[in-house]
Amino acid sequence: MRTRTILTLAGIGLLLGGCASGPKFTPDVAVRSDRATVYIYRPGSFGAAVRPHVVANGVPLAEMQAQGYFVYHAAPGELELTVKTEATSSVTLDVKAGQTYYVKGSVGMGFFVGHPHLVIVSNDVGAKEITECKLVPGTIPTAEEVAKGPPPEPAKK
Amino acid sequence: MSLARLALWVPSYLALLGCATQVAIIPQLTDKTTPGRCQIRAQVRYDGKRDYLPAALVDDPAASHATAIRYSYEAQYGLNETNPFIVAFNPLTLVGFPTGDDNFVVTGRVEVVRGDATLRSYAAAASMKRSSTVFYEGETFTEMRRRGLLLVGNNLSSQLCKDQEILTALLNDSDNKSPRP
Repeated sequence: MRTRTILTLAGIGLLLGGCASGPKFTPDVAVRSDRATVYIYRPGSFGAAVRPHVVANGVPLAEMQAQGYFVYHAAPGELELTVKTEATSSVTLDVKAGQTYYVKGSVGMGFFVGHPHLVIVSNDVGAKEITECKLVPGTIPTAEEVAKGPPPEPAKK
Repeated sequence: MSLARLALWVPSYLALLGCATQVAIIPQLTDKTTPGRCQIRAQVRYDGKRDYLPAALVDDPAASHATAIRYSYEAQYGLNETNPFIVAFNPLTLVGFPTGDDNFVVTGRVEVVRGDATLRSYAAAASMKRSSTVFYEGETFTEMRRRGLLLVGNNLSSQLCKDQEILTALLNDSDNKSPRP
């Protein structure tokens, strides 16, 4: 009986262990007029242990955590967001200043590791689904930092 | 072919079956003009990436301001994932049974405008669909978007080249006429 309880608790722990733990969703208001608001969220909890980084222009923005979200203030122009495990998923947005965009993430079945997926959803759908998500902790790079690209790798001796 | 070889090939074939992206474009043109074969010079109103502008359109700042050509496009995304728990317990998953599919539709529109009035318009749409398996995800939305926008641009170029005389006349005609209210 005791073994069964431990196994059940361990199972629940594994399922929820990768879920975001920050504050509940609140709409972002601190956006500059020359920037767009891009919400990246992952409402599902399947494959919670798989937490790939969402990357823009080679710069990691934040982890795509189960039931989590984060906000990126993007500069106008094309913005490509990529997530990668054993498979790669990417979407490209035509970002316009002052607009809001929602990118939904999920993790499906893979052979060794879950396959991540990103898709651009309408603002109606995104605004509804994101309310159940919690903020992913951490500092999100600015559009200027993303434009610079990833830092150069240190030279090998 | 030996039975062992066949046993290896069949699952591999099944795993890759249906992975290629299915593409459909409308309108389907019988007379496909090579992109870049004709040039229509006008004031072009378009704020996207230059790569996606139909090759037949050449932005000419010196052209008449009365009549302009406006290009715009719109993309729609769809992701249909099979419930991961169903996928996990489906034995066919291991022989490449689809775990979901992505749909992407892009529509492009070229409008000849004079003032607020649209004198002529052209449209094209590309629809793309691909299935994923546990082995292979296929093209990403970024790749599909790029391919779709280029296809739409080429299709519109062909349509514009077919009507080159009419369009040139319209654009030249505007030099002598004031814009409509």
